[in-house]
Amino acid sequence: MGTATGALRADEVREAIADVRDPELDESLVKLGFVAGVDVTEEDVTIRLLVPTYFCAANFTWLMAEDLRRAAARVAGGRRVKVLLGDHFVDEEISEGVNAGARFQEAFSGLADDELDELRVHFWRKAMTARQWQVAEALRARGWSLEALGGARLGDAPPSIATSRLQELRALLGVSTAPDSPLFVRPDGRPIPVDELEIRLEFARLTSVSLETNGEYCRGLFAVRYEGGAK
Amino acid sequence: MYQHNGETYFVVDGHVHFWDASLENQANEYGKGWIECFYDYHKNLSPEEYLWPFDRFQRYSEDRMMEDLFEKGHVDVAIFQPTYLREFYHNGFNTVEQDAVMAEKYPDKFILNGAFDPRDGEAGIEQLERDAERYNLKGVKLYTAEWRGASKGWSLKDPWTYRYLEKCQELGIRNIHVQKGPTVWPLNRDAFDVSDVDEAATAFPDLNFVIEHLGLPRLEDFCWIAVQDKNVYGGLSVAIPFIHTRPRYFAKIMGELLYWLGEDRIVFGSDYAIWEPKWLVETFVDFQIPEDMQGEYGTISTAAKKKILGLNEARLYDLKVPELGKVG
Repeated sequence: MGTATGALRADEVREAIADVRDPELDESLVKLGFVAGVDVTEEDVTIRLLVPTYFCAANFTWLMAEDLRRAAARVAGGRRVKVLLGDHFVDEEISEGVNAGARFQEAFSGLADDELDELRVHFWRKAMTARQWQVAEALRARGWSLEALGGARLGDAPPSIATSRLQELRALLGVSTAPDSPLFVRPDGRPIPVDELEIRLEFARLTSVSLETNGEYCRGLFAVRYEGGAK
Repeated sequence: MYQHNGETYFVVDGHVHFWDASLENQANEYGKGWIECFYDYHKNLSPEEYLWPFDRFQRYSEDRMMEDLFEKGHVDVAIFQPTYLREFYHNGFNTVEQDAVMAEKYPDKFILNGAFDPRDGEAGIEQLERDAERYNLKGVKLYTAEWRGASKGWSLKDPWTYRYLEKCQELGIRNIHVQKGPTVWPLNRDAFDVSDVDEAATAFPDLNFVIEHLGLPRLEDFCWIAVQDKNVYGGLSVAIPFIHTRPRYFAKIMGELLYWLGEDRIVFGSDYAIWEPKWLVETFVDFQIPEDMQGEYGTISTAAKKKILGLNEARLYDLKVPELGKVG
């Protein structure tokens, strides 16, 4: 620590954290506007994080802070990386805990009985489900019937943001990313049997609506809080 | 009743508050943070002409509430849903006692719901008995994220909760309104998880479980539970204000609800004073799923709107509904 190697600009840090996501919304924190500032000095990289409400869930907020810190550390060149959360009911606890490299359970002693890994996986699964709906819609628009979708392979997915995120999520969840692997899988990664496909895709649509709606709610609240109005 | 285009709508506002978030009542920074958070929700989705100044939002008068709900707001009957928050506010945020002042003054206008917290144990069961008798309770509102000392919440799966639900059944309290919040222990889990409602709804088929705010932000989990348990209902408050600035999002939510639950298990609520019922009722009556989304979701009928705005909740609470014939 202490001796930084090489020059570093704030926009390089921004670039490095560009794909750190809100775990619930599966959207980029930078794009959501939650990254309020990035400062680089000889010794430190400081990232300021703001969230839509004072009572945003502590666990999700912790994951955001931790993921930002890890992503920035990859380009920090030996500088100390600090994430400073503000305007939140446990902002000091989260900032201090994450910056000390503590585990969640240590920072919230008595209030948590385990770590956040399971939670993270839970939300990756939701995000994967939602992306499957978006990819199914793209294929339907190209004339694929429900029956044909039953036999679809990952390689059939047309190139899009949804498809590349779906591939990333499958990799994170340990689901095959081979082009000839089944495109539609259950949250646990097993292929969806043909007779379940319709209801599973409908549920995937619902999940996609839910994520979209939550994202819109959070953006609106964030805008009211920090940008002088939503509309 | 609201009359529009020759149709009459009996309106039950299933989620209203008479809260006290005044500076004198705020116990700490959490009380301050709570009401500021509510105010952001208010500002985010209210039409400009319905925006309140913050001081009124912290504490409003009885007269103001009567006017906003019943004189201007088209509401026939409103249901008080208490939220205690005694750790945040000296006298609580919105307690049964506070609501009772209004409910006892205007018995034809308000339904007063009670509340319980399983962490009160045996003493709480006795309190529930006294409240049920005094206020003739037909419903309770449960807020599982309520803080108490080191405990930051509870679950419907707790054995003590089952004892309270058994007591509800015995006392004729049939409607269990459940609200999820962000601070449930343990913090490492998904605090908004509604799966505990699933178990309770299966274990108590004679009780109705109204999930307030549709379980948002867990709409998908809520709908999934409602498909399994026919005694689960969705309260529209917090979601319905999308109808003004984000009607396409609202259409998607509505389309999903109609698909998964059907029109008989969706109930209206304004969450007053976060939002006023007047504009919500008027906009909802005029609302239709946009044409380009009708292939996916179909349309919403006038009959469905009447159920959602009042008839469904009237059924849950045995309210007398006047004849809703066409006028003119």
